[in-house]
Amino acid sequence: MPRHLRRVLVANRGEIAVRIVRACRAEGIDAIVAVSDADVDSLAARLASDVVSIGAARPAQSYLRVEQIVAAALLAGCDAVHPGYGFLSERAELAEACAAHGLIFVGPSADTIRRGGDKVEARRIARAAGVPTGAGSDAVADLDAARVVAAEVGYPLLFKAAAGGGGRGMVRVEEPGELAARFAGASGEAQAAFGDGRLYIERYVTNARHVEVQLLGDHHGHLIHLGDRDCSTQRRFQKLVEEAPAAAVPQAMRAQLAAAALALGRMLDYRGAGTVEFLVDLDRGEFSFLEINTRVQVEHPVTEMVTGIDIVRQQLRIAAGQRLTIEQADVTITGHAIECRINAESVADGFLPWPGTITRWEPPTGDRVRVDSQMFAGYEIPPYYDSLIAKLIVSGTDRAQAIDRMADALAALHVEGVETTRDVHRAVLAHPDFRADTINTRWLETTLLPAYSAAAPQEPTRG
Amino acid sequence: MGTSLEAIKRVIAAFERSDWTEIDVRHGDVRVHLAAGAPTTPSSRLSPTTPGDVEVAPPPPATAAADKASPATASPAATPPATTTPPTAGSPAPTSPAPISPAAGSPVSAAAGSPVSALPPGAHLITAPSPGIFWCSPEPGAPPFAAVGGRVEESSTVCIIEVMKLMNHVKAGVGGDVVAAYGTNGVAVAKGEPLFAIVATDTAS
Repeated sequence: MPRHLRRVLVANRGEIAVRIVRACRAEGIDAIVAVSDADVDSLAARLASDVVSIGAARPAQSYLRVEQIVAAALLAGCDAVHPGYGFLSERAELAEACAAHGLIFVGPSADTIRRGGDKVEARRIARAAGVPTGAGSDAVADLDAARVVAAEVGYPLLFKAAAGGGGRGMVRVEEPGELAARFAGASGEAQAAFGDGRLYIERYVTNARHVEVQLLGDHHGHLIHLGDRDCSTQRRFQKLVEEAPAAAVPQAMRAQLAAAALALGRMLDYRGAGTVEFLVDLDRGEFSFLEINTRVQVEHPVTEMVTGIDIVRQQLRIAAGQRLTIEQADVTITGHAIECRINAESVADGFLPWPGTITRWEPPTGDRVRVDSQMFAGYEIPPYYDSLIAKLIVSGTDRAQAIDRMADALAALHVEGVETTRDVHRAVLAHPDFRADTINTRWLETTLLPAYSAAAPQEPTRG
Repeated sequence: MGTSLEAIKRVIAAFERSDWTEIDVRHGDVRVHLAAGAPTTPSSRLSPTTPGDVEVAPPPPATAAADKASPATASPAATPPATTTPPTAGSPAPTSPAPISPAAGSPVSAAAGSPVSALPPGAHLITAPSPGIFWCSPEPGAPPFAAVGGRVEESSTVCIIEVMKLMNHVKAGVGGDVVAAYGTNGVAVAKGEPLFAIVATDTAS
């Protein structure tokens, strides 16, 4: 196994492709970006040493084709493939194909991805590791089985797709009368979206916070955590704002969460960067395992800001077989960091995605302000992919300072040409509940957004 | 940086020992397009380049390579590799970007064409609510939601506008006869672009 990677194929697009190219450069590695026809002129392509064309714009014809990614890596003379997040990053098939063709996959083993990615299996592993999984079930075979579990768990509850994750494939059931229809709907959706209709049930925690723990493990049995993040500001199970550390969670529980994440990671022989997600029940003072993400997370920068550890560079070193030189005792959390995900969406149209050409792009700058983005003036956001256009990340000596700094950063972000979600973020940052850190996973939808929509007719997100 | 002959050989070798049915990747001037189950080209050459010559200039956009490429490009799905025989390497032809019709983008004749100016008086125009990709049917191969000569209800879905992974079902908004359809399946539309024209019908008549 090499000690250093030489040429890495970036099998992704958007801001994370830019992020990986930059990390490669910092490591002295050539970054080759795999591009679809829609991305030949992307920022990642411009920054990369080279590009390989992998097919048509639609993901199914390019970024989701394992054989295209492997062939592209071989053709460009790469020795490794970095999958980023989304697309093929959590598909064991890519890790296997890389291994079969002499390429290093920057991520955990295919076996870890497979066991961690099957949510029912992951719950089983969590229980075996002594990690609470909360009220719920393994896969329910049919409606009758669902009724039995639902009676035990109580309402409201969630149907979740066994093959889902990342907030996709989840359906909430408020009361018994809805169960039959929701079961059929959720099962059908899971089948269509993931090719796997299996569902499991979880108790829906009304007053919950979403807290996750960052892991890093090497090939030599060394596994550490980089602290936690709070991602409770969500809309339709999608995160809008993330923070590190999870300041609202009592210190004792945070230590338990870290220990639970490490226990789970050891069960999975975890190597590379990964995240264990938990739901913290504020009313009961309990936590339960949600899922494990076997890849770099969108929100990894907030952890980088408070630990000073570059997670993507660590991924590249670990993939090369290098020993992780950071001991757990070396990891210290300094200050507080916040990330806002800015999407090209029209809030007034129900967060309708809004592709188009960026006519003005002025990101904020300044001390402890970081912008991870693939945007530039003149860039045409293609309609084929997700709507994330930038991640604004700031840090401060404490949470209050970080909030103030983020408010300033949002005000200094000027985007024209498309609608963006910037102003929703400004409303979040300015809200007393957010500043007091008393929110939960439903707060954005039940408190912030109704008030936001009721406010005077929104100006288009400009200026 | 150019593609080395070694790299091209690695791709071909990988293809031959995998169950891939088709790959098509391009690096600089070199395009490698291989398809399984191309029995009409038994004598696939390993490399079109002369040894040592790793830069391959794009050939004129002619049919020169098409005879080898066509079994792959035309209908890869129609010639799946037999399970008893290993996939055969097709042509590693460094062809110019020959037209490969993307499967999902293949136009399913959506009766596009008639100019909006020719709209019958009183017709209701359905326009794109946002930019996105126009889809005339719920899935590839399925019959279209709405077609010229057909009828739609007020609550009928007439098409899907896919925008950034969101499938937005566009409703007719008015019941009546479809008199014109403007979208082409799988092709991007701008916000406000006309999609269909409907002549409202009196449900009582």
